[in-house]
Amino acid sequence: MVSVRRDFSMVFRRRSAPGGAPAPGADDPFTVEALSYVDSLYGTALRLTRRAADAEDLVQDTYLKAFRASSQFQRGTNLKAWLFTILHNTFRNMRRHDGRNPIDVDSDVVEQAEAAGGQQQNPELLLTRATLDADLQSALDDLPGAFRQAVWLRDVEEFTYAEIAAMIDVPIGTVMSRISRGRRMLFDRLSKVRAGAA
Amino acid sequence: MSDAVRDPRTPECRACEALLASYVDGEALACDCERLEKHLEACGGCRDWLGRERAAREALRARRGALRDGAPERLKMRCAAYAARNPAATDRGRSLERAPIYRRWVPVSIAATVLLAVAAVFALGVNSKVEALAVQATVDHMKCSRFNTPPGLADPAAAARQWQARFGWPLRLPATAEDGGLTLRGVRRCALTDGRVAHLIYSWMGEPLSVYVLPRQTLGVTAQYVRSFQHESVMWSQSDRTYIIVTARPRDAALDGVVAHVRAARY
Repeated sequence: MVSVRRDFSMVFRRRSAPGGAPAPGADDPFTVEALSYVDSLYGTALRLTRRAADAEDLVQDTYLKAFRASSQFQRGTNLKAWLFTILHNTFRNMRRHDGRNPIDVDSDVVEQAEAAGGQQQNPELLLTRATLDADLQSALDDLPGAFRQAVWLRDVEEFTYAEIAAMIDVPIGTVMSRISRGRRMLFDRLSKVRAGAA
Repeated sequence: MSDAVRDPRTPECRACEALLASYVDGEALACDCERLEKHLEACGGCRDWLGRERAAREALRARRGALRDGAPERLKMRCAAYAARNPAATDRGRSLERAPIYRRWVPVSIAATVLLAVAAVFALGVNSKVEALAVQATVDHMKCSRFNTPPGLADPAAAARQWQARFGWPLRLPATAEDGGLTLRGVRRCALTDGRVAHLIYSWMGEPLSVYVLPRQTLGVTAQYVRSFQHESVMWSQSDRTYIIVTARPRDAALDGVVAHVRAARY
């Protein structure tokens, strides 16, 4: 019996140099716009998975699902938010299959982390001086998943509270609370790094 | 001051905490701003929270570009290839009504092709190993050339490395994608088996052409030609390998030339 299995692990490179002609069939406006978000999706996938290989798998699965379900996308609505919703749903499913909790929300850890990181310093003075990108990156990666996700989607990807709430399937009030606390935790972690470097 | 150290907070502190994000983002309602600002005047703890939140927000927004990791080029190409391979997406702009119908027919057409292959094995007297292999390879070739042909050129060196790493046996691919009139489009694990057969996807004279490589000798050295589903299959064993070539073009001197080339190249 012939078994029909799809395997997308092809190895290929583009015929033209980067910036050359797009792949055949990729000139449809929906496709062009969807593919323009690949960097954003990958950056977000990296924040979620913290592993480059997992992030690539997640983005590939997202596009595969998006192109298959393109007829379900409502024209005139936010395509980027739609793709991010697929990304987060796919991530949740991946983690469920792995038997892992998709996003860690541990209020005790949060409280301890904030208590440990609290510093009596002038916040504006502290961060308006040059903060190293690597420090910021590492402080962000150090946040508990739920807070990192909310802060990233709001301050880096610039989604509205409502879009984030729909994306990660939690109430708007929770989103706002996570953003607020996530930012303060980030500040505390950066303060700690800077205090250590001084 | 940290959040934990500030506990217990007053009810007003808790109410204002819920408004902090929208206040910092400039999206709070005017009445909420008024209430929050009044509280901030009196509460040093909440002013501290506001300052920390605002500072972190500004730091993040100022470095957005540096924080975003660009997607690797190979990932971009794979995602673009999904769009190219998925007519439901690329046809969307041209005919919204056609896409769902088309998508329904894709799995049906695959199932029908497989059914035909099985029917051929049992009903059309295809009972030798050679003919059964030819039918299976032809079905896989028809499916792949319709749905899985990558748009660009393959990188033979990367493909060979990846193959060896994933499946534990070497593919001896030519140094360049263009070789002997064949253009290598991709290398995939064949649907026939689980990593035991390599499927090299080529373009040849404007048509898809498949070369299947099995890492064992299962046939004789003489090339055998089998015609099924309007496709030509050629297969033979050589040293420790078995090769199957499938193309929609009928047998002619050019196809014999390809067979001779693959024999000499010993993939």
